[in-house]
Amino acid sequence: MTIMLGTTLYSMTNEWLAGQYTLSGLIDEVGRRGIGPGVEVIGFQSLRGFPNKVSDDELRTLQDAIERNGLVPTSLASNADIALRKDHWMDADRSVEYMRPQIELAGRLGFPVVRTQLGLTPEVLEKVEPIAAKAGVKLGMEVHAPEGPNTPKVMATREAYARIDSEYLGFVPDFSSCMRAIPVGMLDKLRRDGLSEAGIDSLKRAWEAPGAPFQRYGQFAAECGQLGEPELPVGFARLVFTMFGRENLEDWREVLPQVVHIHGKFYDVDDDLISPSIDYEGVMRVFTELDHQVSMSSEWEGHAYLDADEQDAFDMVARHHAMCSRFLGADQLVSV
Amino acid sequence: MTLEAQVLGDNAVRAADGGYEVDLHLAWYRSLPLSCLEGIDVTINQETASRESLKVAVGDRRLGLDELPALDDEWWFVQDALTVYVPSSSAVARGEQADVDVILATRVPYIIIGPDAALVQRTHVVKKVVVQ
Repeated sequence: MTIMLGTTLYSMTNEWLAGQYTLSGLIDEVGRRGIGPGVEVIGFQSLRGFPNKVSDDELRTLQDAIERNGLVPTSLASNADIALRKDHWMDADRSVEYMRPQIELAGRLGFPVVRTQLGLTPEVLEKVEPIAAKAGVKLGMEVHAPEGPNTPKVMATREAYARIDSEYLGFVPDFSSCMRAIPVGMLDKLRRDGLSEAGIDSLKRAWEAPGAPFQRYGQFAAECGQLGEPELPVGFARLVFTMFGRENLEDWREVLPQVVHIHGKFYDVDDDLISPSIDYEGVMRVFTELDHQVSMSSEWEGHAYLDADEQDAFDMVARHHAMCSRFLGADQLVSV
Repeated sequence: MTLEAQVLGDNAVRAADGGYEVDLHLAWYRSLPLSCLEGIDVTINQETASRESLKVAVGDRRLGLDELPALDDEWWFVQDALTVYVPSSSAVARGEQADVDVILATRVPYIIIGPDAALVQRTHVVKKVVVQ
């Protein structure tokens, strides 16, 4: 048994922003739909006043909802926010003090992991590690598109981790790093915004080409200039190169011992329980080699280009659970 | 709703003394402090409000956009509307239609795209609404 399935409330971003749910209502719905047991929360999305000024009532509401639905807190997602002030970016000490209450609140609420971001420099990591150790919380650096497990920024973190050598520092792989196709829903959105079929072909070619994401986007944008494509979809398509990475899924093996939580990022699961844009069969095969138990949040991000009335996020997550269960096999699944 | 559809709701524009009040929502999945609000461009019925004339409601205060960069601990919660006061010399009455054009520019303080540059997300919304 290696992986405990679950949900990040980020999957329900559309529903949340539209005000369709309160926090307790949203967690009740996760429980009712059976898409736990793990539940991940983004502090700056779900909690008013995060991290310093969340009311005790709000914190109790969150804990009560998790408990009454038999769910398990898995990860509290933090943000590094170094450019909070435009003219005065955070130095290392300010970053540490910005992270401190986020980590401490995770400890208070019983989240075993805080998702961190690449904005944390090696110097900051060294200084926040004791805070995490004291709070009993592991810091999981998210490895997300366009980065992958061995791209330069992540390698710098791996080197810092090797030097600091603490069980409280780990990684949160996000499968956006290793995609095999641009999601059809994104292509349809670009078509609706006026991109022609020639523009779509150009986009696919540039996405599949080797090279740095921004260079590949530049090739696409230049071709669109020649094709006379409208500005709006060409600008929006920048996301294709930052949200959808093309790293090799086999490379996740390099960080498996340091994985503390997983973002099961996905966009699409078809009726045969296959994801056209991410090779989940291959990814799950690699993660069955984990030698320790971790949680995985199903993280649906189709809301970046779909309206809430076009796709039910809860259904998408349920489908993702079915797909992952199939590829992992019952003996790999942890239940509570 | 997608993030961009979220910015301006159907009932977002209200008649007010000397102009309009417009309720805006963030086009992002999480809360941001007001220090990250870099710009709001509003045009209602072809009348463009100057940057200096716009005021936003912060608690009981009405602040100009140039007073916001220092407010890194005043948070715009992602489910809340931010009310913007838009002066107009030719505001239409309650119940009438108005063409609204809004560009909301927010800095995403953790997406660093260059040595001294964070991503500034500009969301452009054009909508016909009934003034409330």
